Amino acid sequence: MRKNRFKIILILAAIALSLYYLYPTYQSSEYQKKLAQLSGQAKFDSYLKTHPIPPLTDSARAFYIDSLRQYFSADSLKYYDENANKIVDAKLKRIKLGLDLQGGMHVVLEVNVIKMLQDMAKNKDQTFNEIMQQVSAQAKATDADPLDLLQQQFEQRGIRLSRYYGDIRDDNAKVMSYLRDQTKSAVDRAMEIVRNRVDQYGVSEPSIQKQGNSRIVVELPGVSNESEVRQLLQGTALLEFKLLKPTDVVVKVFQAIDNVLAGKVDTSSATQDTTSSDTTMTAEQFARKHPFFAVVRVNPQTGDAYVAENDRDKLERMLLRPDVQRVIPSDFQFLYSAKPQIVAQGAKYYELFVVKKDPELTGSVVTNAQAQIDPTTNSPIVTMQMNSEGSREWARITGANIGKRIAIVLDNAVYSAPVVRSKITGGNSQIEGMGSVEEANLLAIVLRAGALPAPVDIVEERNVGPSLGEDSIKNGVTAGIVGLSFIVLFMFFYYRTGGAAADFAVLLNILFILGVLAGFHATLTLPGIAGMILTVAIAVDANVLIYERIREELATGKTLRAAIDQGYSKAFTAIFDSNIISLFTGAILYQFGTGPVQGFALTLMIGILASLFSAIIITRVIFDIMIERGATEINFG
Amino acid sequence: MRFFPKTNIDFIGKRHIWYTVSITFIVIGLVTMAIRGLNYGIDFKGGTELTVKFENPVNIATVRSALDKVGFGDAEIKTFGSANRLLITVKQTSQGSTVTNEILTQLQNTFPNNPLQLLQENKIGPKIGQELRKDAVMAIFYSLIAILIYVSLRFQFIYAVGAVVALFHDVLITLGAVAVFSWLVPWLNLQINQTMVAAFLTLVGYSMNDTVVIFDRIRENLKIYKGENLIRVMNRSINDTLSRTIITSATAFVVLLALLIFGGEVTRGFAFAMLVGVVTGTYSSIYVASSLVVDYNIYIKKVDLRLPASQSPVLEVEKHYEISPKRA
Repeated sequence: MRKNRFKIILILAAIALSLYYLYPTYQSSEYQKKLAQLSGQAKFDSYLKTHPIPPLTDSARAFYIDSLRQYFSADSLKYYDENANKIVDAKLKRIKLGLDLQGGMHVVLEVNVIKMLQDMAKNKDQTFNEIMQQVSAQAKATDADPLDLLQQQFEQRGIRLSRYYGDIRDDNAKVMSYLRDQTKSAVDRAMEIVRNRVDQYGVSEPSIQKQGNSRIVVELPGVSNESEVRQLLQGTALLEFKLLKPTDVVVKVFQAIDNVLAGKVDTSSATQDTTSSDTTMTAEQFARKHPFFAVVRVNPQTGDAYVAENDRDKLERMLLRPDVQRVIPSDFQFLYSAKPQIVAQGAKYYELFVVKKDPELTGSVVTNAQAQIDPTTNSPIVTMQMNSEGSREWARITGANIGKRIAIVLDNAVYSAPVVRSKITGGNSQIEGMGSVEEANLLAIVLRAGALPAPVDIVEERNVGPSLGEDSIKNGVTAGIVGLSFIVLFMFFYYRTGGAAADFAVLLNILFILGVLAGFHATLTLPGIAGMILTVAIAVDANVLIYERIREELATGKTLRAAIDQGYSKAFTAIFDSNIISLFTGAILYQFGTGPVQGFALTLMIGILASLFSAIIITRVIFDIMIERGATEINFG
Repeated sequence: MRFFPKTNIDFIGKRHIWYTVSITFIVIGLVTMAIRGLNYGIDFKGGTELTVKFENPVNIATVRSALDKVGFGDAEIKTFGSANRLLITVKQTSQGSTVTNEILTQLQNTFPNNPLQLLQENKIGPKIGQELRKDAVMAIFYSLIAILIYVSLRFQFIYAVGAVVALFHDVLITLGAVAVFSWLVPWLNLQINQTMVAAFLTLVGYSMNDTVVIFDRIRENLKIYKGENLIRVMNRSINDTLSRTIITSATAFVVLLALLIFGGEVTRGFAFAMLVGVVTGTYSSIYVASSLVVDYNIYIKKVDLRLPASQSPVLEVEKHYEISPKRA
C-alpha cells in the first residue's frame, strides 16, 4: 500500500476533480428538467381542452390567453427567479455542445477591402473607377493583397494616391500606411460591431473570434432565423432617416405610372377611376387596365401601399422602364419594409414606402437606443439618443416636419416610419406604437447598430437545425454504447481479472475525458464523440499490449509479481512511442481543422493522455493491491 | 482464453507477393480516382449544400427536373439517412439566402402537399474551399514529417522511412477505397470533407501504433539475439506481437463498424475511412514497413540475408527441458 500511496491519491484526486467539473453539467440538466416540468405548458394545454375559450374579440382573446399562460407559467418563473444565479452559473460551466449537436449558425465573415477602399475614397471619378475595377479583377485572379495592387496601379499610371485619399499634400508612402492602418483596424472595428450586435440580439453563448487578418468567425448556438442573423452580421449597415413623401403626392405619381403602363396618354382625367369603380372587374381585366395597381395594392383609406413578395421583382422592372422613370420625380425613392407587414392567403405583403432620396440624417449621430416599456401606457417603446451635432439637426428636421413621417432605413429596408409629433430638442426621442416587445427590440437594435465601418462578406455559412443535432447525439451515443459494450465484454472474457481491471480503467477514462472537457470549457462535437469512441478502442490497446506481455512472461515460468513488473516495463516503450505519435497528429489536426474537427482533435488528445494514465497507472495499482493482499494468482485469461 | 497460440509464420519471406497485392490495390484506386475523380464535399469544393426533410418520401427524379427548371441542372441530389431526407448540393453560392430560398420555394411548389423543413445548410465560398483543401494536404504532409523525425530519433532512419512509406501506402489505399466505394456504393454518401481528412490523420496516427509496436519488438529482439539473421528476428518479432496486433485491430474494427452502422450520416465517411485504415494499417506495418527495412538491407546495404535450407525462416526460441510424471 505504502509505495502506491502517491498513485492512489493521484487517482482519487483525478476522479474527484472530474466529478467536480462535471457536476454543473448534471446540475444544469436537472434545472432544465425542473423548469420544463414547472413551465405548465402541459397543464395549460389540458386546461384549454376542458375549458373552451369564451367568445371574445380578437384583442381580448389574446389578452385572455396571455394571462392564462402567465398564470400557468408562474411556478417556473418563480423557481427561475429564486435560483437564477445558480441556473446561469451551471449553464456557463456545463460541457458545451457544438453547433452540430445543438443546432445553430456558424458564419465566417471577411472584410471586403476593395469595397472599403472604394467607400473611403473621395472625389471618385472615371479614372478611379477604372483603377478599382482593375484591382478587383486582379485580386480575384491572383489572391494578392488588394492594397499592393492598388499602389501598383497608381504608380503605373503615375497618379498620386493623395488625389483620392488622405490630405492632398501627403506622399504615397504616407497614404499607403494610412490605408494599411485602416484596413488592419477594419477587422477589429467590424468585430466590435458584430459582437455588440450579437450581444444585443440576445443569443446565449455566442462565440466571435478573429481568424487571420481579415476574417471573423461567428458561432451562434440555437439560432435558427438565418436571414435575420445574416442581416445583423453583414448589413454594411447604413442607417438613415428619410422623410416620407406626402400620401396625396404619392398616389398621384402611382396613378401616373399606372397610366403609362396601361398605355394611356392622358394623365389627368383618369385619376378618379382607380379603385372604387373597378371592383366588378375580374382580376385579369383589372391587371390589364391597371398594371401598376395590380402589383401595388393601395389602401384607399390610409394610402398605405403593399406589394406581395412574389411581385417585388415585377415592380422593380416596371420602375426601371424609361417611360415610367419619366413620370417619377427625381427625388423619389421606393423602399420596402424590412419585414412583411401582412400575411394573407399564404402570400407575404411588404409595405412600400416612397421617401425622399436624400437622407435627412444618417445613423452615425445616434449614440444609443433602447427598447423599454412605457410605464404610463404599459406598451413597448424605443428611446433614442443622439450626439450634440445630430441633436441640433434633429431638432430642425422634426420642427420642420411635424405631422409627417420619417422612415428609419437600414440598408434600404424600412424598419419603421413613425409620425413626428413635435419638435424634438436635446436629442432624446421616443418612438411608440410597436406591436410587441420583439418589434421594439429589433428597432432598437437597428438604431444602435448604426453603420458598419467596414463592409464584410459572408464567405462561409453553416446552419444546423436543432432536430438534426438531436439525431446526431442519439446516433453518436448509440454507436458509443454498442462499441463500448463490445470492448468491455471482450476484454472481460479474454483477459478475465486483467480484463475487468482494464474495463474499470476504461470507464474512468471516459469520466476523465468528460471532466477535462468540462474543466477547460471545451466543446463537444459529433466528431468529438467519434473521437471518444475511438479513444476507448485505443485505450484498451495499451492494456492488450501489457497483458500479452504478461502472458508471455508467465509462460516462461516467472512469478506473478515478476511477470507483471516485466510486462508493464517492457510494454511501456511501445505504448509511449505510439501514443506520442498519435498526440502529434492530434495537435496538427487541431491546428489545421475548424469547428467540429477541432473538437475531434481535442477529444483525441485529451483521450490519449487520459488513457495513458488509466491504462498504465490505474490497472497497475489494482494488481499491486491484489498482490499485497496476498493474491498468488491473477487470471490473465 | 487464447485465440492465437504461439505461431511461426514466415511473414517476411512472402513479402514480394504482398508487394504486388499492395501495388495492385493502389493502382486500382489511382485509376478510379483518375477516371471518376474524387467526390469532394462542400468543404473543399465550395457551393451550397442543403439537407431537406420532407413529410413523405419524394422521387429524386422529380426533384431533379424541378430544380433543373430553375437553373440548378447540375445539382447533386441524394437521400440522406432516410428516403424523406434529401441532401442537395449546388455549385452556386450567394450572399444572403437567395440560392437556398429559390431551391426551397421550387421544391415546395413542386410538392405542395408534402411540407418540407430545412435541416441543415452549408455555404462555402470557393476561396474558402481552396484554402481548406490546402490546409488538409498540409496537415497530412506535416504529420508525416513529424513522424519521420520522431521515428528516426527513436529507431534508425531507415525504419522511419519504412514507417512513412507504410503510412503513405495506407493513405493511398484508403483514398482509393473511398473513390471505389463512392462510385460503386453511392448510398454510402462518401465525400472527401473535413471529417474525412480528420479520419486520414487519425488513421496515420493509429496505423503508426502497429508499426511502432512491431519495431519496438524488433529492436528488443535484435539486442537479445545479436548477430542473428535479420529476417529471422523480424519474423520472430512479428509472430510475438501477432496476437496483440490482431486483437487490437479487431476491437478497433468492431468499434468503428458500430460507428459506421449506428453513427449516422455525419460520421459515416469518418468511420469508413478509419475501417479501411485499420485493416491496411495492420497489414502495412508487417508487409510494407518491416519488409522495406529488409529489402533496404539486402539491396542497398548488400547484406546477405539468404538462409540455408536447413534453417527455419522464423527464429525459434530454444525450448527448455521439461520434466513431468512418467507416463504409464
